[in-house]
Amino acid sequence: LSLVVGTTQEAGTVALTDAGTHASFTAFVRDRSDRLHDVAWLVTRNSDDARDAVQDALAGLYRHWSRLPSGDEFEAYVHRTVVNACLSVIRRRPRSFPVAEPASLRTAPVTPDGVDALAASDEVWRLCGQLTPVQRTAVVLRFYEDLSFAEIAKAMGCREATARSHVHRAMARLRVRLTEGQQ
Amino acid sequence: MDDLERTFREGLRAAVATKPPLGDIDLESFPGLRADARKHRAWRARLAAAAAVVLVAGVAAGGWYLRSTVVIPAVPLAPPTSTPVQSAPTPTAGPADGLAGMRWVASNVGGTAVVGGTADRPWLEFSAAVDGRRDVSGSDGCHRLRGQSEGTADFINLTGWDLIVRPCGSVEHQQQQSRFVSALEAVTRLRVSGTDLRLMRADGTVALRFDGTPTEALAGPGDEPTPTTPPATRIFTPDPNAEENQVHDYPQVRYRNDSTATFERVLLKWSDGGSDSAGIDIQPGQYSGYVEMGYVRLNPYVRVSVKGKQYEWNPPNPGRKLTRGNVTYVLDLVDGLLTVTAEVQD
Repeated sequence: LSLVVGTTQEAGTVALTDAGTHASFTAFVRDRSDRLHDVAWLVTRNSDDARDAVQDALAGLYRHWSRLPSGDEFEAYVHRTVVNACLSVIRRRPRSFPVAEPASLRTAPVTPDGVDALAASDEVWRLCGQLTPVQRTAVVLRFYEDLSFAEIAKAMGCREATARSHVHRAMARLRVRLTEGQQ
Repeated sequence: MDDLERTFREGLRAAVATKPPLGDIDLESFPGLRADARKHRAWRARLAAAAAVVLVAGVAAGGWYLRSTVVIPAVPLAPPTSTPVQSAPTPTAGPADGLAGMRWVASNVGGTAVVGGTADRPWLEFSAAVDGRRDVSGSDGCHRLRGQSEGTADFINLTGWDLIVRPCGSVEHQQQQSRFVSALEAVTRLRVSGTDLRLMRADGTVALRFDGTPTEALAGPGDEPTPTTPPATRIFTPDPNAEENQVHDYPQVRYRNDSTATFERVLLKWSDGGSDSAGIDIQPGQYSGYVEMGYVRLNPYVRVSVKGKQYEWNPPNPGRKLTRGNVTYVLDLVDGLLTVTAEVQD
């Protein structure tokens, strides 16, 4: 069965020769879009930007779907596509930074000491807002996606040492902020 | 995994837990996938319904334990635009009526009584609500504030603060101003009763308390900044690539042309240990790149050139010291008068 599918950004059409490709892409969207949205939300910190980034990333993946690698290389490609989409959205929509993100305070890890957890999670959110988009991306991939530094480097297209540096500097900064908050 | 890494992981997951719904992926833009898109939407609807059930059950189960510590609001600040998750409990309080037409003067900031006379006290004014949104103006006791509120009394969202540069007071007052703005950032709900307004944090504690006075009972001219002599500074050229990939250990400063004219040249000068930022041919709406400024104070001297003419803005005083964060100076030129607004993210 052959289907002709229009692309989202390019004139003309792309022929996909396997209906299974459609099914696999749809399944991917179904299974992974929410997780991709989590990453996009954490990196862009804006719901509209996050939605745009996910849409752009999926469009990019879709264009090359039948030619994508498999296994770990596939995951790296997906991460890199999402990261690029997020950074691209941020770059093309310069704006003043919101001073407050009260929505981030509405929930917190429920622990015996909920107040402390609330403060800590709030501090993480605030700190992430002060990082550059690239640093923030590294932090999100490390601590939300639980990627290794090598995987982060692949996703971000940088050296492993650079990825490690982004994360460590962000953590050092959080340590200072938390210490200040306890004083 | 050390405690700090755990904090990061938990913090990011807490943030994700509050994110707005993704909504539908626009699979319609992939023509060959239209049929699957319909299936996808149906799947999302089922998932959303299941999630709502889990949310309601979770809130019900956790309510007793959380009653005196952490309160988890059951509905989002703004209704989702596309995902039909609506079965969570609705807030019991009505819209924040009684807010408009009053000047709310702070009496307590973060548990500390406000210092200073009436003129030094932080205050807020809310406009009448339009579609649940209100303009909010006020002062932290020194700097003028503008922002917006959205939502109901239980889930108010205060955002978009613009900080207008004005003279500051003593160190004590500046500390109070900082606490006031920080407290505003943490506000997620409010309670208004007559002339008593309380802005509260997500955990239910009171961040700010105000006494209200009808605005028609207030009189007196506005207090705009009075130009004085510009301070002397050093010269420096901004790096246009400084916006990205920089560690923000120092204040990051940029500016935006908010006028309808092209700024042929822009010059910002800081009086104390800072640097100068200069640019050419800044189009309307255009931002400069971010520049890391070292330790500077808030209020720069600003000069722009338009069609060969120069327009200046002289700060009344240097303002508070900036040690981190991002500042965008919004430059506007109206009827030959240059105005400078600082949007600050600490």
